[in-house]
Amino acid sequence: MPLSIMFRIARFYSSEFLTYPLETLALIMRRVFTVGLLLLFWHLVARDNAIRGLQIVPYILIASGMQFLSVGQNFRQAHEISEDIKQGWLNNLLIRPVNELRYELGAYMGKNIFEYVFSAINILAGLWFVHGLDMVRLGLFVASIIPALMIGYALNIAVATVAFWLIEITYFRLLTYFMLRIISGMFLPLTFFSGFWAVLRYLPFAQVAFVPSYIITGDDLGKAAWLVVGGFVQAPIILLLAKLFWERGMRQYGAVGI
Amino acid sequence: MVRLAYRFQRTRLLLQIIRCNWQQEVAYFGNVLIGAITPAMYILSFLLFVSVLFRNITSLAGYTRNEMFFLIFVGQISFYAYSFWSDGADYMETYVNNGMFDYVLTKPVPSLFYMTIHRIKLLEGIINFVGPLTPTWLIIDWRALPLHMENLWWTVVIFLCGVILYEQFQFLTSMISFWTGRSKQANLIVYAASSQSIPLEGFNTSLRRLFLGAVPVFVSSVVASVMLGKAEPMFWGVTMLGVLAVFSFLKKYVWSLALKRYSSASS
Repeated sequence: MPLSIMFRIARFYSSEFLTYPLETLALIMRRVFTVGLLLLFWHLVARDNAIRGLQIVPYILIASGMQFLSVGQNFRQAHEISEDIKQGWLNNLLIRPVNELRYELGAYMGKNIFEYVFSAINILAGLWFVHGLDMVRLGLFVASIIPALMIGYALNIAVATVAFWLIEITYFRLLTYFMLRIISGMFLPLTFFSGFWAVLRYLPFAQVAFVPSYIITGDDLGKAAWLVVGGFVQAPIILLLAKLFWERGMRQYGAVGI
Repeated sequence: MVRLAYRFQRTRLLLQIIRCNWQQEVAYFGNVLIGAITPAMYILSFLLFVSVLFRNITSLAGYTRNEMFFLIFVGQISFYAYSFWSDGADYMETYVNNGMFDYVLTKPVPSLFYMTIHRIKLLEGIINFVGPLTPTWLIIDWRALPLHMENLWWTVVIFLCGVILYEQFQFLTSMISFWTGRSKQANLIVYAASSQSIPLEGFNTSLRRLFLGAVPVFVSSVVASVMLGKAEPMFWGVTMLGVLAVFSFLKKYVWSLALKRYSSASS
C-alpha cells in the first residue's frame, strides 16, 4: 500500500475530528492544563532542590512531548487497534487492498492530529527553555526521533496484538503504560535511578522519551550520542519482533474470527 | 408537606438505584475486581515515582517524602469518593446523542437528580477504597506525620465540598454536549484536575484564584495542607462553601438552559 494512501486516510480522519471545533478547543485546554500542572510540579522540584546532571524543566517538556509523539497517551493506538480486532472491524480491512497496519496508523494520525501539533509545541517549548543548545545536540535530537517513533509504534502494535488472545486488554494496556512511564523516563529522568537500576537507560524503552530529552538537556553529550547509536540498532529489531508477533496474532484471528 | 414527600421520593430513588446497580455489579463481580487493578497499578507506579524522586531531592514546596505520601493518600480518597457516584455525567454525551435522554425526561423522576446519581457504583467504590488505598496507607509513617486533629471538622467540610465540587464541575462540562454534541475532552479536564498531587503551598495567589474560580483543582491539596497545619482551616472551609454555592447555582441554571435547548432540538 503506497504511503500516499496512508496520508489520505489520515486526512480523512482529521477532517472528521475538525467537525467539532469546540471539542478541539477543549482538547487544547486540556493539554495546556495538563502540561501546565506538570511544569508547575517540576518547577517546584527545581526551585527547592539542586538537580545535577540535566536541566529538569526543559527535560520534562521534551519528554512529555516525546511521550505523545511516540507512544501516545495510554497506548491510544494500541487501544484503537485492539477495539478493531474485538469488534470485527479488522475484517473490513482484510478484504480491502490495503495494509491493515498502515491503514490503522493513518487513521490514528488523522484522529490525533492535534496531539501531534501539541507534542511539537511541547518539544519546541523545551528547546526554547534550554541553556547552551548547539547544532550538534539539535542534530542528534532530530536523529533520535526516528528510533523513538519506531519503538513507540512497535510497542503499540505489540500491546494491541495481545487482543488476538484476550477479549479485554484494557487492564494489560494500562498496566504496561504505567510501567512504561517509569522505565522510559517519561515520568522522571532515568538519571534519577542509580546502582543496578541505571541499566534502564540502555533498554529500548528509554529511546521513546529519555534519550531524546537527555540529548538536549543532559551534561554528558558523548554518552547521549552512544545512546542514539544504540537506538538505531535496537529500533529495527523491536519493530521486526512486533511485526512477527502481529503476524502470529493474525493467524490466530484467521482461525477464530472468520 | 409536598417538600417532604419530594425529599422522600429522592431518597427512595437513590436507594433503588444503589440496589439496582449493586445487583448489576455483583453479577459481574470479577469485572469489578479486575477493574480495581488499574487504579492499584497506577498508584503503585506513582508511589514508585515519588520514592525515586525523593531519593534525589529533600523537599517539595515544603513537603517531606512522608507528607507527599499523605497528600497522595488524600488525593486518592478524594478521587474515589467523587468518581464512584459521578459517572452519570460521563453518560450525558451518549444519552443526548442516541436519544436515551428522552427516556430520562419521560420518567416520573427529578431529571437532574437522576442524571447525577444514576450511575452510582457502591461496590466499585468499596473495592477501590480497600484495594488501591492500602499500599499508600502502609507506606505512610503515620506516627511521624504532624497531623493537626483539631482541624479535623473543617477538613471534613472542605473534603465534602471538594468532592461535590468535582462532580458539579464534571456535570457542567458534560452539559456542553447539549449544544455541541460532544463533551468528552472537556470531561477529561476534570479527571486531570482531580488526580493532581501538587502541594497547596506550590500555588501562588493568582493560581489559587484561577483554580478555585474556574477549575476546582486543588481540593486534596487544601485538605492535606489543613490537616498538616500548614493552611488556615476556617478560611479554606468558608471559601470552599462559597465556591460550592456558586457551582451549585450554576449547575441548576445551566441544566435549565440545557433542557430548553434539548426540547427545541428534538422538536
